[in-house]
Amino acid sequence: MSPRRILVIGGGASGVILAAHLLREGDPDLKLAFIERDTTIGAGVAYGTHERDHLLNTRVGSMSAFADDPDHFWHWLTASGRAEDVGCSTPFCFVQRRVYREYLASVVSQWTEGIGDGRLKVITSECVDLAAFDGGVSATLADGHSVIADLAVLTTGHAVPRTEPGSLYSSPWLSREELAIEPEASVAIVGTGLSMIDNVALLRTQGHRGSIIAISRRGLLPRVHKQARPFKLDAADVPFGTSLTFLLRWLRRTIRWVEAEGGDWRDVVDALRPHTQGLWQALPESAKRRFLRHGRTIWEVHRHRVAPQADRSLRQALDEGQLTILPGRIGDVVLEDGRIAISLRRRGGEPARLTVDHLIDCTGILREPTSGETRLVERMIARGAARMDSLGFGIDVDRECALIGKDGMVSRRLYAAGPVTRARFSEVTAIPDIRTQCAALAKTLIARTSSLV
Amino acid sequence: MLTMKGKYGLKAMLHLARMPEGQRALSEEIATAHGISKKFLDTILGELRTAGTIHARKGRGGGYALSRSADEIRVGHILRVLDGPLAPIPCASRTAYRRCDDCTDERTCAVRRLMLEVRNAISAVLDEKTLAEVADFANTDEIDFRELVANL
Repeated sequence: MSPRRILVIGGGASGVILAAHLLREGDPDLKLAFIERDTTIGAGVAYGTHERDHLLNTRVGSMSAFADDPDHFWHWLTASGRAEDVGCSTPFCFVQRRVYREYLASVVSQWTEGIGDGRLKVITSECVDLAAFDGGVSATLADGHSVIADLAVLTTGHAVPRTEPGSLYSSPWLSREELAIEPEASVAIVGTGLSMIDNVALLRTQGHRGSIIAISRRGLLPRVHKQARPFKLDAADVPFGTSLTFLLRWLRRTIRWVEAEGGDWRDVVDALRPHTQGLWQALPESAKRRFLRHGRTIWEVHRHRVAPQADRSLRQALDEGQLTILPGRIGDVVLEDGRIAISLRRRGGEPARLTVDHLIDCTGILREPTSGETRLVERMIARGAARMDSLGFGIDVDRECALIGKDGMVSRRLYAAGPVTRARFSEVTAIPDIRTQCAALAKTLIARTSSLV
Repeated sequence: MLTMKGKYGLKAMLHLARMPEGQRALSEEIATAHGISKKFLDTILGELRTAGTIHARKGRGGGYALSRSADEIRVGHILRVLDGPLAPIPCASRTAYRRCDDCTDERTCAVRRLMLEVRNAISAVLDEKTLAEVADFANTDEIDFRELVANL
């Protein structure tokens, strides 16, 4: 039997976690190749930052790459001596994202070409197209070369805002040098979520003195983490298949009950996590649409919480008056005498106008999946190799994560994992969700490769 | 526990699932067909409506209909709405449980732990079964029986 090869498109967290499961579980002649623009494996959008103040949004204890070895990250931290370096004495702490990136690279290092046995090849390039043919898959690289394999998995993560030349928006993932914002300049940020908090922290550590205005539809800020009391919900407790109104009422009642027992709403939100996929899949389409429109932001601010340290510095920025949160909807954005003029409709309907020097796009993961910088997904959809789900929320995949083409046929060679699969699985953003999905997908793929002839 | 409420609610849902597409049923019809008191059935239908599993329309041609197709509705989803978290004994749930009168500590109670396991097995079965499957199964069963009677 000839060696089997699987291409992993995207070397961010989902790609690395999937690769680790495949290499750990698969037989020794299974080979992998990453296609990743970034020279650092494990960086992706989430962990690419070098900033000291950019912390993980989840505790060390929940960030292991393996669901079956939940203390893996914590053990790596202590064994490598980093726990001490970063002042982390328990698995309940929040460490820097750059530390997590190092961890991810270490998870696959024993197989990585040049460091380990070479079963994992790293192709530093951008994948611009991906297609399946009779005997395998072919990925086209930005330089025109093609890479052939038996199977491929899209792990391209969140769509990164596309900042075209001449765009008035700056990308939220720039380093301090790239941002090049004068200390006195005024800055507007679109979005009031976790990436806004990162950007404000980054600006302030650079000694920014100008005003910062963060705008979002409702101006809701992420809630703060608090040590939770583990609480378990069984599927039998959760009212699947009911309307949003019913669900919300049930959620409130359950929270009241948990609070009466001495708990906290966070315990309920966290206890719901293993069931969010099931809840999402059981919702009627009309309710999914309503949730995306009205409920999603409220869920996100409770679900994706901010580390207490990061929240403290955010509150400080607000107290000092440097940061203002402005609820409203953005209209036209035009260049006016070298400055950026933003017209907006404030919450309540009253129109307003704002002139700033810089505008940073921090709308984060609320973005449409085809708006990605690489346009890979866009191309695959145009060719019919992939399609959007009926809500326009993400690409369509089946329960085993196989791509569904324009004709409704389930691909036997193209798969997806991580945030790109949100249309079917709703939340595949956090490591605990990604690792569970990757473990299942690795099994499917290994079974697929051994059935190939 | 499957209460009378759960049982009648499920019967009413099956009644709606077996109706031709686009048709609606009045609560009288359902009540008579299954020998349920109309007053009780109205409460049940009201709860199913709040949960979004059925639609109601007033006036001529009005009545109740499923709010989505029967193969998307799971039996477990209906029963949770009517009977709560599928607990075989009142304390066997994670939320909203009722303590037994003779209970000293529910955290260490072996009976409770066992019943939680039983309950999870119940929900696994009920969440697998769609309303359409159950409705069909009853149909085929009846046909078999009728054939059997005809061939006697």
